[in-house]
Amino acid sequence: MEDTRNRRLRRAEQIVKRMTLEQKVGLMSGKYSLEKLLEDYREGMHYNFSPYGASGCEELGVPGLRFCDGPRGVTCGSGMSTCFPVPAMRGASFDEELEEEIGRAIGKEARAYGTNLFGGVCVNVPYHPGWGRSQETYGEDSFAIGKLGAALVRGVQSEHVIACVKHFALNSIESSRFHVNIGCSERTLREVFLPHFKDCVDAGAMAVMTAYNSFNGVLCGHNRHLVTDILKGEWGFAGFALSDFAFGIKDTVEAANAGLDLEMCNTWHYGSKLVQAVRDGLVDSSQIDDSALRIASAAILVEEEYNSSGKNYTEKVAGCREHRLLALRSAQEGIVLLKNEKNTLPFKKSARKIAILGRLAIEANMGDTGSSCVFPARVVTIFDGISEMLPEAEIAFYDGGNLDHARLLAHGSDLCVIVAGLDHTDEGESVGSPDNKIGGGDRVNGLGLRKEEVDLINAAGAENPNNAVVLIGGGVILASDWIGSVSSALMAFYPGQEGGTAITQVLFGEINPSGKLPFAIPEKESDLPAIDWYALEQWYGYYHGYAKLDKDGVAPLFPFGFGLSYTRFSYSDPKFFVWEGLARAECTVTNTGSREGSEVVQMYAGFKNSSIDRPAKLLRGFDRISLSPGESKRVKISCPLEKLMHYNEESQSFELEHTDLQLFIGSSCAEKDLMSGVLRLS
Amino acid sequence: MAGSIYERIAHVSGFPAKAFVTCIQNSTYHWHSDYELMIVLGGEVRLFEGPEHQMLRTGDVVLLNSRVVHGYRSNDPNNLCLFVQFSERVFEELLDERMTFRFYLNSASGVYPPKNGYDPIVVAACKLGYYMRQTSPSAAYKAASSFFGLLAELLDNVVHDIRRAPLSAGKEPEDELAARVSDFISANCSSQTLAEDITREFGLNEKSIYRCLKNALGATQKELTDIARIERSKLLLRHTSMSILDIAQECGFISEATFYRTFKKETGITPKEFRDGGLSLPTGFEVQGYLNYDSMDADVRLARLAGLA
Repeated sequence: MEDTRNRRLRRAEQIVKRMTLEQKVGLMSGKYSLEKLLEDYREGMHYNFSPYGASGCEELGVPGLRFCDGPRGVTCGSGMSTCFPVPAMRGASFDEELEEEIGRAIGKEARAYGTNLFGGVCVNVPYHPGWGRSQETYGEDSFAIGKLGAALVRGVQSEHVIACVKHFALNSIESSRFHVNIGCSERTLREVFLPHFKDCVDAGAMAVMTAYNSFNGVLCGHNRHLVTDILKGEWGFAGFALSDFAFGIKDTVEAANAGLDLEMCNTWHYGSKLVQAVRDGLVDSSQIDDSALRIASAAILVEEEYNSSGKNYTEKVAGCREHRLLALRSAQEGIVLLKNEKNTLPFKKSARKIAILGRLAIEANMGDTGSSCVFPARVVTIFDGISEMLPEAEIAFYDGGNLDHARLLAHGSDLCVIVAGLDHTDEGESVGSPDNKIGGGDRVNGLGLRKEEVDLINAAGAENPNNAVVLIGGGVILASDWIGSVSSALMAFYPGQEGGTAITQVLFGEINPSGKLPFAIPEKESDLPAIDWYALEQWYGYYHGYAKLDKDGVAPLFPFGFGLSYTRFSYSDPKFFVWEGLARAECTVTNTGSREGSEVVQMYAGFKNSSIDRPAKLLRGFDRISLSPGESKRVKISCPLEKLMHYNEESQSFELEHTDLQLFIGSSCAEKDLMSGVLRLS
Repeated sequence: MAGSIYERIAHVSGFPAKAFVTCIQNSTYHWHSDYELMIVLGGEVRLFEGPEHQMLRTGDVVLLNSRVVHGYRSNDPNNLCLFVQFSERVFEELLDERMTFRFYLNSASGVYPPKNGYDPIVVAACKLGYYMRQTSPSAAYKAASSFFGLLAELLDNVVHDIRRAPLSAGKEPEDELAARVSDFISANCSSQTLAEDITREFGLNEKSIYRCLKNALGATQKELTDIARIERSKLLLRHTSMSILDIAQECGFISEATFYRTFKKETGITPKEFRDGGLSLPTGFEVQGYLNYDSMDADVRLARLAGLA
C-alpha cells in the first residue's frame, strides 16, 4: 500500500522533472473563465452546477483537478445531491465518527459528479458569532473544529477526493472580506485561529485554500508567513495551497513567492504572466517546481487510487437512501434541547389539533444560498415532518403575521409549535434573494430574532403552555427577550434535507435529543467581542466565545456544551492524571432517568494557575456515549500535552507550563456542570 | 329549488375562475370544493356560514373557503351580488394535495382587516366580473389579469393559514352532514312525517340530528323546515294559480293560519301581498337560488367599484 503510494509520488516527481516551465505553470491555474461562469448564470445554472476544471497536463499524464464546493454536501447538479445539516449542527453532535461518515458520503457524491477536489472543509473560528458563514464551521471552539474538520478530511479523502481546508486564515467577516485587514498577535494566531487548520493538515488534508482577507497587512493569498513558513514549513504540509476564487490573489509575483500553488478558478495572474515573471527572475524556478510537484502529486495520487480502487460512483449514489438516512441521523444528533419546563417535551402523539406557527415551518430552509448551496431532490420541512408523523391530526399552519389569529390558533390547539429564526436572507455569504445579492451576509442587524417573531413567540406562548419553540439558524440566536414566555425550546440549526423529520422525532419523543451547543449563547450581544462588519481594519483579540465570557465573569444564557435530554445523567468518581504524554480525565456517567439517551461528556483544561494570562478553561476532549436507563459507563477522555501548551512569542514556540493545571469533566462548560481536579505538571 | 349540496362549479374551460353577477333570493346550505368570493353590489343579503349569520350590505366583501357549508337568503328584491368562484387548484404550485389555504376575509364582521384594506380586493374582483361580461378580444386577458391580481392580493394582504386535514377523515364532518340534512329538508319539506323521514334517511335519532344542525348551522329542524316550506310556497304563489289554502297544504303547513303567520315572519309580507307583486321576483334561475337581474345595472355597478367608470 505504502509502496504503491511512494511509487506514485516518485512518478509524479519524474513527470514534473520532464515538464517545461509552461507546462508546470499550466498545472498552477484554474481553467474556468469568468465569461464561462457568467454564461452559466445567464443560462440559469447555479454556482458550481458543473465541476470547475483546473490544472492538469494531458500530454504527460497529470490528471486535471475538478472542483466542487460544500460543506453541507456537494454543490454540483440540481435535485440530486444529499443536503446534510450545516457544519454548525454537525458541531453540536460532537460526533467525530459521524462526521467521518458524512465525509465518506460527500466523497462518493463528489466522485459521482466526476470531481476530485472538495472545497468544503471550512474550519474558520468565528471571532464574533455574527459572521454570516458561521453555519459552515463547527461552532466557536478551535479544539472541536479541529477534531471534526479532521474527521471530514479523513472521510472525504478515503474516497479518493482531495479535501480542501479553508479559508486560511482568519476569515470570519463576510461583509468586507475582499478588503479587510485582520490583525492579531502572533500568540492569538497560533493558539486561537490556527490549531484547527493544523489538525486538518495532520489528518492528511491535501489542499488548503487561502482566505480573501489580509492578515497583518498582507493578503492571505500573498502571505508567505501563513502559507510557506507555517503551513508548509512548520506543519510540513505536503499538499497544495489554492487561492479563493477570482479575488484571492492580486499579484503574480507576490502570490507565487508566498507559496500559493494554484490560482482558482481561472488563469488571471498566473499562466503567461507567471512564466514571464520566472524569466524576469522575479520568481525563482524552484518555487514553480515545488508548486507543480505538490499539485501533480495530489492529482496523480487521488486519480490513480480511485481508478485502481474498483469503485465507480455514478449519479445513483448522489442523494441515495443511505446518504439521506445519514443526513437524518446527523440532524437527530445535532438538535439541542435548550429548555424543557415541566417536561413539556416530548409532546404526546395523541394530539388531535396542532398549531404550527412561524413562516420558517414551511420553508425548505437549508441555509445559505451562496457557494455552500446544495440542491437535493426533496426537503422535509417541519410542517411536512409533523404531517407525516401524525397523519390523523388536524394541522393548522400560520406564518404569524397577525397576532390575534396566532393566539386564536394556539389557544384552540392541543399543542403549539412555533418556528423562528433565520434563513438565507438573514445570514450567509451574502444576503438577499439568490438573483439579487446585496452585500455581505454578516448579521449586521444583531443576533436576535426579528421583532415579529419575538412578538409571535410571546403572544402564542402565553396562549397555550403546551408549546415548543424550534430555532432555525446557523449560529447564536439571542433568546433573553422571549425564552421566558415558552415552555420548551430547541435549537435545530439548518438541519438539512431530512431536518423536518428529525425535529418532529425529537418533538414527539421518537428521538431523545443529545446535541450540545457548540457555542455559548450570551444574554446580550454586548457580552461578545466588538466587531465592525464593514471595517477595513479589524483586530482580533485573544478572547472570544465562552473563553471571553469566562474571562469577563459574565454568565451566558446558555453555556457552551449545554444541551438537555429527556433522561437524566449523573456524574461521579472523577479522576484526573497524566499518563504517557496524555492529560487524562475519567468519570462514571449513569443514566438515572427512564429512557435511553446519549450524552456528550466534555473535558476542559483550566489555566487559572498560569503565570500568564490564559483562559479559565478550554475544551480539550469530548466523547459521545449512549446509555440505557440505569446503565453506567466509565468515560475516559484524554488529549496530548501539546494541546495544553501556549505560544511564547519571544521564543517563537509552543511551551508547556510546569505548574498545576485544572482539568474538568462534565456535561457543559458551566462550572456547576463540571467536576474538577488538579493536573500536576510541575 | 333544492340543488345538490355538493355544488360542482363548472369553470369556463381554460379559465381557472368563474365570475357572475346575480340577485340572491335563497340559496340553501351547501358546500363545494371551490373558494367563493362574494361582493354585494347592491341591496343586502344575509350570509349563513355554519352557525354564524350576518347581514352583508352594499360594498361588503366576504371570502368563503372551500368546503365551508354556507347559504344566502335575501328578502331584498334589489340585491345584486358578484360571485367569484375558483378552484383550490389555483394554488397547486404552492401546496400539496392535502393542504389548503384558509382565508379570513369578511368586511361585515371585520375579522382581521387586510393589510391594505378591502379596496384592492374589491377592485380586482369587480374588474374580473366586469371583463368576464365583455366580449372584446382583450377582455379575457384582462379578466385573467384581474383574477391573478386578486390571488396575489389574497396571498399578500389577507390573513390566511394552511390547513391539513386528517388522512382518514373517519366519520363525515358534522357540517357536511348538516348540509345533507338541510338539503333533504328542502327536498321533502311537504312531508307531514318529515321528522321520521329524516331519522330513517340518516340513521340517526332526533337528538343527534338536533345537535348536528344546531352545532353546524345554528338552526333547528323546525326553522330549516319553515324556511324550505316558505321558499317552496313562493314558487307556487308566483308560478301557479293554486289557492293559498292548497299551497299551504302542498307545502306541509298544518293550517292556512300557520302558513300566513310563518310567511309573514320570514318575508315581512303576507302570501297574498307576495302573489300580488309585493316582492318583485324575476323569473328564471341561473344557479340554484341565484336570480336574474338587470344586466345594465350590473355593468354600471361593477365598473364603478372597479374604478373603471
